[in-house]
Amino acid sequence: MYNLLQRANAIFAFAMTVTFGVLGAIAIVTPFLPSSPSAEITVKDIQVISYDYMSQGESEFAFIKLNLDADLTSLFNWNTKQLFVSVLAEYETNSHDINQVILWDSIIQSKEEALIKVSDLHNEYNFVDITTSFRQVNASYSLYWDVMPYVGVLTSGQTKSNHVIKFPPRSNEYR
Amino acid sequence: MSKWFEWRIDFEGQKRCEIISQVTIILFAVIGFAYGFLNQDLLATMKIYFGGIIFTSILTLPPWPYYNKHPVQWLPEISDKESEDPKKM
Repeated sequence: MYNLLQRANAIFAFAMTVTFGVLGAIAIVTPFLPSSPSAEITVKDIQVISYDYMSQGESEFAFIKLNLDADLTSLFNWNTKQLFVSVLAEYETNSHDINQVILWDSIIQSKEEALIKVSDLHNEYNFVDITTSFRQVNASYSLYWDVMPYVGVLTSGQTKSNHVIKFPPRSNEYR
Repeated sequence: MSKWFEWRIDFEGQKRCEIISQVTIILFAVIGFAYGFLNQDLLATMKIYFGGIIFTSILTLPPWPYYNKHPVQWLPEISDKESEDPKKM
């Protein structure tokens, strides 16, 4: 520490160590912050169309229209960088116990954007079953989110909707 | 020129410098963390802490007179005649 370079080196190294301490403290404290997210999903319309996509044979495509009303602002604490939010459809079939399909997703980067109100949400991606037919299954819809912190452990959560609607039989025309 | 920019401090000064630098950095880390946590503002924590590091650098890097209050007591110079003494060879 007798000359400038020695002192600068010593102080920089110590500052680095303390920086890691501060970041560690932030990561440890974050899970104890309270949060109360809420979401409501209501199904407006379901259509099931049979279609030969890319010449793979006939299979059923579902087109879902939903209302989404969610308040995720309480998930935004000092350590939240962004939220990844998606609407899931979950159902059970004879051949497969758990089926989960993402209908819609969004990245939310600020507290203001966390008040989600989408009144005409339709599935962004093709909704197909792993077999070629849905067989008029009952599906429940839920909102799922990943909280991405600046420092620390990735956390997630989900709310389930009470609205369970049976899929209609296949039709040949899209309304 | 480089000798002047060496910014030497004596041993007692180094001791004081080490204590001051460590205490100040930790103090700003704790204050920054507490303020940021209470206001839920991560940017404030970072600003306070890194501002604290710069402040500590100003306090410790330049050779302030406070660090040179106990200069090293070098032994007196040996005169030329004694060093040519054949007995010491």
